[in-house]
Amino acid sequence: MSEESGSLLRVDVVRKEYYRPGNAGALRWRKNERLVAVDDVSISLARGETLSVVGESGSGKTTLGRMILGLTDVTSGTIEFDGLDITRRLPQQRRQLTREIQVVFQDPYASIDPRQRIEDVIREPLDIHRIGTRKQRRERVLEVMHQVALPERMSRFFPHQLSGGLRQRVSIATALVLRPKLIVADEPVSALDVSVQAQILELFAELRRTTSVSILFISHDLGVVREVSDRVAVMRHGRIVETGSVNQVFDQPTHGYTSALLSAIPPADPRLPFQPISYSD
Amino acid sequence: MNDLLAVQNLSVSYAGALSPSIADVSFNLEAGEIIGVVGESGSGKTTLGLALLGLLPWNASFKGSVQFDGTEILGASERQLRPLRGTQLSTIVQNPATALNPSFSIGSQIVALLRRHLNLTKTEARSLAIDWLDRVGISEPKKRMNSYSHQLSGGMNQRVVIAMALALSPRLVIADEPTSALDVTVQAAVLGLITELIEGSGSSMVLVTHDLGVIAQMCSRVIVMKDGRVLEVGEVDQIFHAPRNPYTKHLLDSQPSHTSQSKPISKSRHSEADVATSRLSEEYGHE
Repeated sequence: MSEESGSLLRVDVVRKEYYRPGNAGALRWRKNERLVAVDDVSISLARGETLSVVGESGSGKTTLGRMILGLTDVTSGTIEFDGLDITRRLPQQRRQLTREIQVVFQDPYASIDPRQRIEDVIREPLDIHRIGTRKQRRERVLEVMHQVALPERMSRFFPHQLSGGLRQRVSIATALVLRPKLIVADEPVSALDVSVQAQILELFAELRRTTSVSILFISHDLGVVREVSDRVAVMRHGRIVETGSVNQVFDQPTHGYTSALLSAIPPADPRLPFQPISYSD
Repeated sequence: MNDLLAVQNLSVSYAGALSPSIADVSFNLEAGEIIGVVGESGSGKTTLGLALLGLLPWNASFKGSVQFDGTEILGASERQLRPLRGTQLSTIVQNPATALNPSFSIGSQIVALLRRHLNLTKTEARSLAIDWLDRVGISEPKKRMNSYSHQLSGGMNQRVVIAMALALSPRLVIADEPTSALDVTVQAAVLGLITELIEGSGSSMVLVTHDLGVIAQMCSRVIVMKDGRVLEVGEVDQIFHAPRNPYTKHLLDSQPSHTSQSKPISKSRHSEADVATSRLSEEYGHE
């Protein structure tokens, strides 16, 4: 892993183990099985960079994101954010970190409070952190709404009045409102229709180009990450099998699993051959 | 007429809905053909699949006709449909976890299906079931007969569902998003399996999906749907390379590409579905 001094986030041999009841029966706890969800993963993320973590179900990509967000405990290893060890965060650290690390979840139907108006949803982080006057908060809300292309008139709407794509814009606006240094986006487009998905990807690509926020973009779909990322990490069974620049990973994958993953996406063109490569280790 | 399936002016409305779920849909399907139905959520593609199976819910009203090999499906009674189901007309659903009964082993479910339709003894049905599990690529099929669906992965469950859909060599299979719940590598394997089995048995298939890649690779013809209407029907090559309808073109443009970076995110990608946003760009000059 590169030892960039300018890196915002450094995840160093981080591991997450879960214990689950063994096959012997749910009551025989002593026979528990150990499950390594994230197996000594190291990644770093530079300021303003978008790193995509791609993997199939069970690869540990979501657990990795949750550990960075502080939503899941780390079994071993260290997470450094902005020069600070945040592996086991203290309560006072936690509060500060929520200003600097934000999240966008997969399902905008589940992640937004249905009883709040859009402006209240987006403003809530400012209220919680007591940032600015009422007027300044309102201005900031309109500013981020503009940034994510949400019309101002929608500020008084309720979430149910918005389509999935617009709701996901609200989630992104809420994540941006505190000017965080890092956004962890876990499958932010997989619940959306393809044409809406294209628009949200476009928004992520724009955030990458025009802002200094770093983004950890978690996805099961290699197909969608090309346009939004600087670098890509491919995960499988809790390990990172390959990391590299977008072009390198897509055009000259070095790991057999990456090639298999790429070849498994059916090309949306009947003239292109579809020859999935199988991979087993 | 040698069309296996003839759909004419089919319209379906659900009680209480403002607009029909599907309106004035017509198409034909020849024997041995795989036709794709593509559309985004709310396009009516799933309702179309249900109508073809005679499985529309009670609160749906319909017009038009769906003829399967000369038999009218629409409005037919259960009694009339029963001889067709399984042996003639069958379905692969999206979520295998809900299609299989959690209280019975997968083996007993396949055996029950085979014995219901074919005149087999228990032993014969069992060995045929094992044979099918083997054909759909399930390792140690004998052992798996006693497994329950929660003990199998999504991909394995979907293979069981496919085995059950194809075990009676139906002449027409309606597959509604058969691989959407699967990981991409598993999807690739399952698609290969479906093609092999469908082609091997000479069955026809209506493949409903939102995934243009799956359509491009699996189908010979495509029906493009939006808001319950058929916008375009054509050969797969024509649809993908010379789409006549602007929406088809928009859909193709929205497809993220991983094969080349030469396709920049174009500003022309305004969605008709997301009117508010496109209106915004005019109001604010903000993209």
